[in-house]
Order: sequence, then structure tokens, then C-alpha cells
Amino acid sequence: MRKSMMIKSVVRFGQWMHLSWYELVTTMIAISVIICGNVHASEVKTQQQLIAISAKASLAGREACQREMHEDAEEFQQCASQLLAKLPQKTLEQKYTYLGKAYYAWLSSTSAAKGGLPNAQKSALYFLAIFRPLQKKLGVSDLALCKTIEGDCESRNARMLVMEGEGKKGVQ
Amino acid sequence: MNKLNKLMLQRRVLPLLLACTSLFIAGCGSDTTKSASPVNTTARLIAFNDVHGNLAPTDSNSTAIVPLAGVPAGQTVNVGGIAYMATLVNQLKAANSNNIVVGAGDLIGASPYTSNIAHDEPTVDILNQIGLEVSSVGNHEFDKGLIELERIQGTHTVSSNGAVSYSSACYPSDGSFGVKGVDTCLQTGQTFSGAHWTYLAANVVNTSTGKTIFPATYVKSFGQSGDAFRPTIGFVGLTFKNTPTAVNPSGVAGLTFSDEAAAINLAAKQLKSQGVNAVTVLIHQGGATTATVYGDTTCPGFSGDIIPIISQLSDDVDLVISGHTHTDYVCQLPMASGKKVTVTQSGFYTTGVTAVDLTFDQTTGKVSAVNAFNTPVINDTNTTPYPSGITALKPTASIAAAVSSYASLSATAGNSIVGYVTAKVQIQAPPAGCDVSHTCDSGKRNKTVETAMGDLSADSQLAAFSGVANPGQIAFIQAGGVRTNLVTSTANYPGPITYAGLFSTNPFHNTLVAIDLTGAQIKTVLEQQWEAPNNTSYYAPGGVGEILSVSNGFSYTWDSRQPAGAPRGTGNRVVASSMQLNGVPMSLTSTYRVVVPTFLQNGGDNFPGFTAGTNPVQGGYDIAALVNYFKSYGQTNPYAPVIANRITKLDQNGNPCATGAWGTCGNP
Repeated sequence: MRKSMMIKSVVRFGQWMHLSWYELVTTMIAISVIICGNVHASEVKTQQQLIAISAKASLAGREACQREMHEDAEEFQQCASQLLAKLPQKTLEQKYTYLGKAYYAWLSSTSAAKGGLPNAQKSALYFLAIFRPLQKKLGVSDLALCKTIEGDCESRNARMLVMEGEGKKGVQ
Repeated sequence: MNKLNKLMLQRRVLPLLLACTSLFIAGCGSDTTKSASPVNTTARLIAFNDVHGNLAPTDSNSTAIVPLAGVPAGQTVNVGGIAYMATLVNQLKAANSNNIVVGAGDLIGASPYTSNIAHDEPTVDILNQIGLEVSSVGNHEFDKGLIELERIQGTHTVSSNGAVSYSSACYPSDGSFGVKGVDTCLQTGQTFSGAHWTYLAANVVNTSTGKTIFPATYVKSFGQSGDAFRPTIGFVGLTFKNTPTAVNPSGVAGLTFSDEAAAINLAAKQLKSQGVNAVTVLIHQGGATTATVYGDTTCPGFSGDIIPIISQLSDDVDLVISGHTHTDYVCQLPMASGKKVTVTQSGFYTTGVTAVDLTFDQTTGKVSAVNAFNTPVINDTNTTPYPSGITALKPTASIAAAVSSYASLSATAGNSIVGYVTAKVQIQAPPAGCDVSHTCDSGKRNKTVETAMGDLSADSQLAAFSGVANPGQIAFIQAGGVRTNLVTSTANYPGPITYAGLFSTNPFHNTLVAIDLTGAQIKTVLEQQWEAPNNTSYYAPGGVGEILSVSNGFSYTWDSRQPAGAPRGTGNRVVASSMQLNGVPMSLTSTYRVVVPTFLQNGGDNFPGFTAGTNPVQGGYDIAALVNYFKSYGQTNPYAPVIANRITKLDQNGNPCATGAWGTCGNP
């Protein structure tokens, strides 16, 4: 339905411009090349910029909630989840901001779990379930996301995959 | 020169040259050997922090992620237990006889039951046995105030022959606590020797004397008399300057906590001028990295409140051993000059220990190298063996025996039956609207509603001030002071409740106080339940705020149509005309006798309205009030818990919400 309407529009455009079929097809190809080329260039640039937005957001999240990671991870989880609840997710930028903060919350919980802080593992699984689907939806690689926050990506990503397996098993 | 002469010369000179060369080389070698070993001397500092009275592995039930070759994600291991930590400390000591065991605060306070019920005397005794020599104070050292902290420190007396003797007092008797051999003075002869280590408090000044409450510094010399070089380390100990915001205000009354960096720089300069070879800071403040494996020394993504402190330090400082943030790291952070200093933290709850080897250049007397590393306290409580490369520690037998002995003593004290209940007394309303992520039904408190356990606690506090000259009329208790459900020891209902069970519901040893407040002042504190910042406190579905539990006879209504989060002093949720005492409307201008924990009296949990109270009269502990309250509830007339509906919430139509349904009624 939509395809036929698009073809009709292109034909009307050609008639309006008094173009031959050859001229119309050539023009369409040229316009497509220009648009696609620009879109591709802007996507590459935007992806980098958006990941930078995630990185910045993660730092802001750290400022807001890290002090709550103390007696156990529950107050931290509460703080970070409230922070996330307030974030809109309409635009791409907003989604990357959300991703950055949720990823930070997972990492902070995971880091606290390395020393055995009570409920840190549970908090990490909670935030893993939040950021992981969004990360995949946005097409951000594990390595690209890892690089938004300083640290050993081999160890961190391995930990994430282990935790993902635990989450699927329902371990808390 | 003819060929013969030349040959002769070669024959005579060359061997001589070779001989000289050999001697030279030998001499060089000899010199090198001589200078290599004595030029450098190493001292080892063994450090831990935030023990918080954790004794048995089950106190924390902690697991850690430790590195394992070929497994980037690391290996999960069981960690903690003070008998296991003692073994690790001994191993670290054995590697260098020039050693000292040091702490970075919060060694006691907020402790599990065994240590808590005995006023942390068990922890003090065991840390003495481990050989702790010096520690900074932390915020939790002030939980019960300076007088109690001074009792914990005790007195160190040095005799003419240099021997040190230690003494202190038993916990003061107040009817429920301070029973020798039961909850205090548990050592041989019903004594308590106090801490054998020295507490340092370089930035904590007693305002009445103008002096620090404990010494600012401590100096330790290593090696033997007669050694050519004996390195000396000066220690500066302190806690973070915002400690008053983190503890019961009465615990820090009359004390001033000054800027950390200024206190350190002053003390470090004095120590260096005294000739110490190195200055080590013991500070109860820290940060956190983004590392995902315990023992990391690369310090990725370090952040935290200690950074601005370190950035102001002078080059007199050679090492910083930190605490408070309950994590582990070994970092290199820039000081004021840009020079980097090693900053460490071991973890918490006996889960890890830091070792720092300070190497001294004998020629200059200065620190030439700092090598720090954290080791996890891997205990042997795992049921399946660990992979090759990970070895669990065995507990030190004498410490394990002490832990076991203290657990038995506390169990004896705790297992005594103090009353009976018909049903579980809950800290939360029935879990309407709760979901798993908010743990509403996992025993975690819901601070946003009236609860049966809150009502009971408030009633016991009011009862503690009945029958006195100026009896209490209304009691308030903060939501955070009521920690868990009260359950029977048999899990059957009706059934008995034990001292330990009761203690777990109110574990803070809060002292009670009666004060005068006007009706208007009472309304002010009630509004503070939802005013900022309390409106962002403990979240539960359908609820916000920090609800104060109130005693029997007092009732009021609040209107959820009015907004939460109003700036302090502008809240308008409490219906003033609804405030009643024993069925009689209260006057905003009349004065009422109010009973609260001193924590609230001093404005804790963002209730500054209570600081307006006048005519204070101090009472006993909250736990003592509960124990006494239950004396009237025996096996034949058990206590029947109920959410008494002393507080009424109005929905969006101005109608009262049903009991226990606040989460799904009206606005949060």
C-alpha cells in the first residue's frame, strides 16, 4: 500500500517536472545516493556522539547515587532506580542518556559485589535487566559501552555475561 | 723497545693487569653485595577497616569475586570471619618482622548481634588478640557518644620498665544492660581491659577543652636497638569532617570535626620535623573504583569524597590508608604538588586485608618505594572445593574459640524469654501494591506507612515515661529505628519472644528522652514527614516519606491531596484540627510532654522540629523500654499486634483510606 503510494508520488513529481522516464529514474538514483550517503555519515558520527552522551550520563549518575552504596546496596538501588524513573526515553539522545545511567548503576553494583557488599549482586541483576535490552535495541556493542567508563573491559564484560546467565537462571 | 723487552713487559704487566682487574671486579662485587642489602630496609603495614563488629563468617555471609588465571570473570569465593582474618594477618606478619597492624575506623558500631549486645567488647577483645596497634576513629565509633568511646579506649599505663597495662570499666548498669558476665565485662574475672590499640582523632576536638579527644599522631620505630638504621613511621589518624551528619547527634554533642586536609598537613609537618622517616595517614573516608574483581591495583574510574582531601595534602605524606566506603582499592592519587601518593582500602566486615611494604633508603632515610596489595579473607565455609589457584584460609584456633565463646554468651543472654505475642508484629503494612523489586515482603521495612511494630515501639517508649513526675503524653519513633519484624522463637503463634528477637527490632541502643513541645511544634514535625528531603526517602509503591510511629492515645489525619516535597516549613498535609490526644482535640498553643529517642531530639532523619523541645529529661534505652513493656504480656495474655490506625490518610476525595491500604489509596 505504502509502496504504491510512494511510486505514484514519484510519477507525479516527474510529470510536474516534465521529466522523461530516463531523467526521472536518474534523478531518483542521484537523490537516493545523496540521502543515503548523508544518512550513513551522520549515523557513524551520531553513534559516537551518542555513546559519549552515555558516558557523560554515567558520570552524572555516579555523582548522584554513589554515596548510597554503603551499608548494603539497597539504598543505592533505590536511588539509581528513582533517577532512572525520572528520565524520559523519547529521543535517541534520551535513550542513550538512560543507557549510560543504567549501565553505570549496574557497574557500580557489580563493583560493590566484588567485595561482598550485601545485596550488591541482586542490585546488579536488577540493573542488568534494565540496560541490557536497551543496549541491544540501540545496537551498542559490549566493548563500546564498556569503554564509556574506565576499567578492564575483558574482566567486566566476562562478568556481565556470567551475570546474564545467572539472571536467566533466576539466581539472586 | 725490542721484541724481547716487549714480550717481557707483556708477560709481567699483563698478569699484573689481569690480577688488578680481577681484584677490582671482585672488589666491586664485594661492595655491591655489601651495599645492596643494608641500603634498603622495609617495614610492612597490615591494615583493615570497617570491621563493624563482624566476628563469625555468618555475620556478613559475604562472597567476593577474586581473580583466577584464565577466567576473566573471576571466581566467587566465601569471605570474612575474624578468625580467618587473624590467620591472614599472621601470614602477612610472618613475611616481615618489621610490621604493624593498623585500622582505619568503624571497627565497632552497627555491629551484628553477638558483638552488639555486649557493647562491642567481644570485638575489642579479639582485635586486641590480633595485635591491632593504632587506628583512626570512624563515624560509628561515636554511635554511643564520647563517654562510651572513652570506655572502649580505656587507659594505657606504661610502667618504669616499659611494660604497658590496660584497664577500663564495665558498661554502666541501667537495669537492663551493664550486667557483669552477661553483657559486659565478659573477660576473666568479669573485667574489660579496653582497646589495646591507640585511637587517633586529629580532627576531633572537644569544644570544652579545645583539645583533640584522642592523640592526633602515633609513632612507631622498627628494628632492634643497635641496628644501623631503624625506620620510624608517624601515623596521623582522623575521620571525615561530616561525621556529625552520619551519626546520632547526641553521640557527637560537644565535639567539633575540622577539615581533614588541614589537620593532616599540620600533623604530618610536625611528625616530619620530629624526624620520622615516613608519614602514614589513617583516615575514615574513601572512594570507589569500577573494578569488578577484588584485589585490583589499577584503580579504574576512581571517585569519591577522599579525592579533594588527597588533592590538598602536602608532600610530607607518604601513604594513605582509608576506609568508610566498604570497598577495596590500591590507587595512586595526586597531592597538592602533583606528586602521587598511594591510597588503599581493604574492604569491610573482615573480608580483606591490605599489606603495604614501605621501603626506606638508609642513606637518605626516606621512603624509596611503596608496594601495596589487598588480599581477600577467603574462608573455608564453601561446600565445593575451589579451582586450583585459590586457597581458603583456616581459622586461627584461639580466635575461633573466642568467637564461639562470645556467641554462646550472647545466645544465653539473648535466648531468655521476655514475653509472648499472638502473631508476628510487622514493620510494614500488608503488601498491597508491593512488587519484588521493592522487596516489600522480604522483611525490609516500609517507611511510608503506619506499622504494627512502629505502634508497639512507640507504646513501649511512652510506657517508659509513665509513673514519673512529669509523665510523657505522646511518643514518636522514626521509621528507620524500627528495623525488622518481631517473631517468636518457636515460629508458632501464639508463642514466646526472646531478648534477641526483641533486640533485632530496635538494635541501636537509642536513649529515650522526654521533652516539651507545643501543639504547633508537633504539627511542624509531622509535616516534616513529607517535606523535602524526607519525601524522597524510602520508596515503596504508592508511598513517600518518613512516617513517625506514634503512641496510643494520639491520633491525626493527613491529606494526600496536598503535595509532598514542600520546602521545609511549608508543608500542609497534616489536618491541624484532627490532632487529638485521648480523644480531645489538641491546642496548637498548649504544651505537651513528648517522648522520643535522643536521635530524634537532635534532629535526626531530617526532623529538625524536635530540636525545639525544651525541659529534656533523659530516660533509659529503647530496648529496655521494650523489655519492660512486655513484662505485662505473659503466656496467658500474649500481646496482640494490630495496626492501630492512629494515623488516618485521606484519599483524593477526602475520604479516609482503609487500614493497611495506603499504598493503593490516594496520592503517595
